[in-house]
Amino acid sequence: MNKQSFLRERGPSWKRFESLLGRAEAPGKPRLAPEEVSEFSELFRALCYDLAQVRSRDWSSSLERYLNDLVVRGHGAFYGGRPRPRGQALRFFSTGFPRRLRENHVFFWVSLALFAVPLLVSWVVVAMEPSLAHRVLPGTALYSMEEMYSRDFGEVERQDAAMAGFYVRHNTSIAFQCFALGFFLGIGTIYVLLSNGIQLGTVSGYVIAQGHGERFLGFVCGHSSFELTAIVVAGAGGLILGHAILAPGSLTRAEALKERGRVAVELALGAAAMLFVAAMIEGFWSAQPLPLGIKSVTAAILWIVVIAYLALAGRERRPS
Amino acid sequence: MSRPEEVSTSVLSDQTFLEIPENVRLGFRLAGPGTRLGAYLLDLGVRSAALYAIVSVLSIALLPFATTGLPLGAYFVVAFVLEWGYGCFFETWWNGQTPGKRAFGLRVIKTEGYAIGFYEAMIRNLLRAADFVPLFYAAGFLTAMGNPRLQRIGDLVAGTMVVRERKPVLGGELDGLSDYPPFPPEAFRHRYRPSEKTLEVIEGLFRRRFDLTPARLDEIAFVLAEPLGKRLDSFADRKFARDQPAEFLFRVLSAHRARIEHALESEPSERAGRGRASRPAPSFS
Repeated sequence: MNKQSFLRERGPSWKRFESLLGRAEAPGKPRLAPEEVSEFSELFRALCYDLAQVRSRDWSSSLERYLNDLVVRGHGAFYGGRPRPRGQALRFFSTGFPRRLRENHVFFWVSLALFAVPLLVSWVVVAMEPSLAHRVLPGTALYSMEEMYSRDFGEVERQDAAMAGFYVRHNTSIAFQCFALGFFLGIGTIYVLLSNGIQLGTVSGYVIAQGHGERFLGFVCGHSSFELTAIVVAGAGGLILGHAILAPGSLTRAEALKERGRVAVELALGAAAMLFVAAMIEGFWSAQPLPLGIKSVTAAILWIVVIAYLALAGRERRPS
Repeated sequence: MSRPEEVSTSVLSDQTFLEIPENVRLGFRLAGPGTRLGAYLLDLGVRSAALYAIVSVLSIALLPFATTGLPLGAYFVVAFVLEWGYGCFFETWWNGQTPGKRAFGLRVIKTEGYAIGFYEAMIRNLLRAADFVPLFYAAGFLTAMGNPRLQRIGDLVAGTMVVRERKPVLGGELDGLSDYPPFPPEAFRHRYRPSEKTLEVIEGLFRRRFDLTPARLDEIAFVLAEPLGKRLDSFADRKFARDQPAEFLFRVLSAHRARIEHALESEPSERAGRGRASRPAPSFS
């Protein structure tokens, strides 16, 4: 068989495969009919054989390239089952995410320690010696903080929705960065956790020391449960990435990264959802001019909700 | 289904190879930093335009709620979703492509050659934050340069690579060959016919004919035209082969390739009227 007769004989079947492939690759509903799928697989195998044949006979590199590219596309279309995230979203947030977090609880506790310890220490230190706050934050930032909490919530013109939107963008971006920077052996994540912890502690200690404690706590307590926990969860995701590189175990580092990366990104997704809830609370509820009593009761309930969700949702029922 | 086995990746190559269950070795052409930057900038433009358009519409639609700050809030949320979700959305639903990647003929696939799914798209786009460090994707660039599949950090964690995808075209690359009158095969002694390998070389030269100066083209063509010319019968033909080597080679190519191109062109129309049954069975002979 020479190249010309080969082309004449096989060409039509490649063209047919191309047209099936075009439809198989198209996004959306209409894909291939059942009998077309088996035709596709038949043509695909024949195509692979053609490619091997063209290579063994050294017929032409342009023909080889054409067949190679066609097989590449066919391979992707044939074996690449595209998972549809639609139905899975609800299951992920109701059971998958809390389960994942509990499976990796060590990373959560480490992340919590990296965030909470500097927060508490700087809080206590600054509360006792407010002038130290200037070493952490610039004076203008402290002044605007103090300004913000020195007025009653009813006094200022409120733009709840704008603030909610701002928090969604700002906080979640920080959480994603906290997660992604874990790639650098976890150092980036540790830095973000420590620095956010110190800054938050400093602001809290400073504002309370200036005598605005009641308004400050009233504002912060509502969304604290979702927001603080979510940052720690995102941090846990980042630490998983760093750990995969530092201690890949029996896998290669590339394999460990792939395997653990999937777990880590699930934690980052869960954190993003929690931050969305936090932003809604922060925007629409936290600035409401309500007595501290009501706010602290609500905050306590929300803390219980968060802890119960992460600790209990999606537990496997053990046969006792 | 057995997992495809990775075969080899040579160090200085823009290709990576993969052996698939059908027992053939596939070559994937990797996308270099230049095209990826182009696709990125185009996506940035599309993203900015989308943000502008959506926010314009929303700010008019939400005008009655302006006092609550809803338009501004909507802006923040839309900006956030576009910043982090744009790549993930398109790469999930367009099978590894964003508008920019599509325009530049790029596609994200798994390193095993499969199409990517939601999680791969999510991972590689969230990890842009790590690739961006310290400024404008420096870390991502260095990582990509340091590994044979040109993967940036997000690709490493997601197990993906970006490949160049040409729409496979059969024939067509010899457009313009018909301008050269076929050189009569009978002019060669002993019914000599150039081998496929030789014709391939001429084809390569033909495709590059506009990238070279005519003088340089002839200079290169002479290396092949000279020995080919020695197989010609008449003195006039031999002189032609020596004096206009490029012209000579292209006419020889034209004589052998025109028939092949023609054989393919006629097939689809010939088949159009027939049903599936008449399709030639795949031959494993």
